[in-house]
Amino acid sequence: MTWLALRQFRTAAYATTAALAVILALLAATGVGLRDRYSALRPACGSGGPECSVVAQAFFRENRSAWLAAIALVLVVPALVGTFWGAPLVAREVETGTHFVAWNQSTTRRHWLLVKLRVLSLAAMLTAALCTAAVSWWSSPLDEVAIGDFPLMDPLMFAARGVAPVAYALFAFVLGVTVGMLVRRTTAAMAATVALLITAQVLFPVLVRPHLAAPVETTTEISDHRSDGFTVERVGPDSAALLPGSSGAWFLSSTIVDPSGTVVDSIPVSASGPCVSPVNQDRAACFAEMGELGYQFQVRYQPLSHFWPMQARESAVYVGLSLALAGLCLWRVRRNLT
Amino acid sequence: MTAALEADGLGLRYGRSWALADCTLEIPAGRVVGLVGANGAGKTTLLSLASGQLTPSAGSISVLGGRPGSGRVQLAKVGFVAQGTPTYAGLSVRDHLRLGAKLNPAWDDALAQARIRRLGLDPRRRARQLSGGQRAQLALTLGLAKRPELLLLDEPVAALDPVARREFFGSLMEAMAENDLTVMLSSHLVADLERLCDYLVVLAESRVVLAGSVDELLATHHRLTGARREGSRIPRSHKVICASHTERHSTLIVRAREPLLDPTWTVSRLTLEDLVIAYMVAAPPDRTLLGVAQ
Repeated sequence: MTWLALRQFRTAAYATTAALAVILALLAATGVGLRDRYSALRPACGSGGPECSVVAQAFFRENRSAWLAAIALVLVVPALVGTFWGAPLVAREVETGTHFVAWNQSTTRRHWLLVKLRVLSLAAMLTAALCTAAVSWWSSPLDEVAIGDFPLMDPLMFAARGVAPVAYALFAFVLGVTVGMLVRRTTAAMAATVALLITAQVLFPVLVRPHLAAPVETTTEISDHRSDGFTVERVGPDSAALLPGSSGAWFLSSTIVDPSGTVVDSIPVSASGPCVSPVNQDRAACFAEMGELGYQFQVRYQPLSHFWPMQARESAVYVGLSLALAGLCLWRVRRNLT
Repeated sequence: MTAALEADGLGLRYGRSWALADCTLEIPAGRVVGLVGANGAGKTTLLSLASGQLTPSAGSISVLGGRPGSGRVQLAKVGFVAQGTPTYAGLSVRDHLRLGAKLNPAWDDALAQARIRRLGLDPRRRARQLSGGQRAQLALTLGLAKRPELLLLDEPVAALDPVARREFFGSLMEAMAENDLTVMLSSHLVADLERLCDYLVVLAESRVVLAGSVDELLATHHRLTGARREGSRIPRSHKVICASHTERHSTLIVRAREPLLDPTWTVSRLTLEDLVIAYMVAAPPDRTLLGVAQ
């Protein structure tokens, strides 16, 4: 049975291998140069400071499109796997009647499906793992520079790094198979799979991911000098905002509270104080005035230290869902399909 | 000797309609069984139930003493060539044979290779490059080389031209002569089955309306023609299957348990086609009785 599963998968496997080879070669070729540029940039930065930030930002801007494309690749691979390997797996057989060929050899339907699921989910996970590892390696200098705008814990980055993409690929594949079995028309199954995968990728970070680990909840003073990597920005004359900065954290919520703990939109700063000045003047003095009035930031966030525990739990959730769907498929295949 | 197929009150329902209802059959082993009926009469359903592709929603079915599709052993005993003789378009003839060899413990590779050679099929050709007739032959080869005890063929020649049809039946007959197996094949053309079958099952409107060995069926069914008479008495030993009347004549097709002695009827033999059509037209059975009473 493994022979048949591999034989049917051969064309797709060749095509995928070719595409992967091109992508990996491209990343390897450009990745080395990127690293050289980054290490040359470091001593110029020296002890940090504004000049360093300018150089780093320029370096990031130059490579920004390629960096975003690499993220897109990692996010798209599971969807491709689900759509082109998963959805047609059973649907195409039923559509062309070839399931009758397979099901009338001396092999049970359940075994037939089990072997197919096993062979192709391994291939799906391997593909995703290769892609993610290569892209992560290639991107690592840029990730460091980009951390202010794209924290690693942010939904976009979180889904494109670590081990989660491998679990997505498994889930996408099994979801595709399940949809294909229920819909039994290849094109419709492919479309439905894409729609469901997008829905899952949108809903999961909103509904599930924040709860994978208990978020840190804290209040912190409105001040320019921070040890947690967060940055504070002025938002108009009478308000400020706390941003993840170089901490890599994912902010679930960030508000200003008055001394009694009530959430407020603006702070009643004095009309003649430092906050009246244009936004980038007297920042420190303005924040100091806000702090003295007893106002604080109240913030709920997932810190960078939660990255691996949350990756592990998210992957476990997706693997669990995949196993449940696979179980459903194996149960369904024994029942009347038509 | 165990029956090749035994069905008792067998039925399959899709939603509220029955694709096959109340089917009770006993088909002896070693026969070549023709399954006839109009499109949608339940032929495919019966074959799918026998091969285990479908599970019944009512009654029971036993094939070669086992429940269809119940495991590897049962699957190995039954070959099934589905409607349209499907094959994997992207796989070559050789790949199909390898598939058969890998998936069937009793695979007869010598038989498969010999058939492919005799048919002149190029082993490197992909199934999509074959003609419809060649694909049907490839599907039949897969079914035969598996060495089943019962081979089920669902409208195997429906899409074939007359030459390919003849070749297909020719090679099927050859295979039946060489191997000891029961064959059940469906068609809506009686002519296809006439040369091949020695047992007949007629389905109409999801029900079995007739089943029996061809010789016996032909010996017990007669056409009676005579002067027009409606509602005339026919002996109880004769069951009227269908009746048609013109202005002057009445024609009855009857099933007789003993010779008819009434000299006012002219008795003639039926062809298999006449017989099948009589039952197909007369279905369902309860309506036949009504027709007689009128």
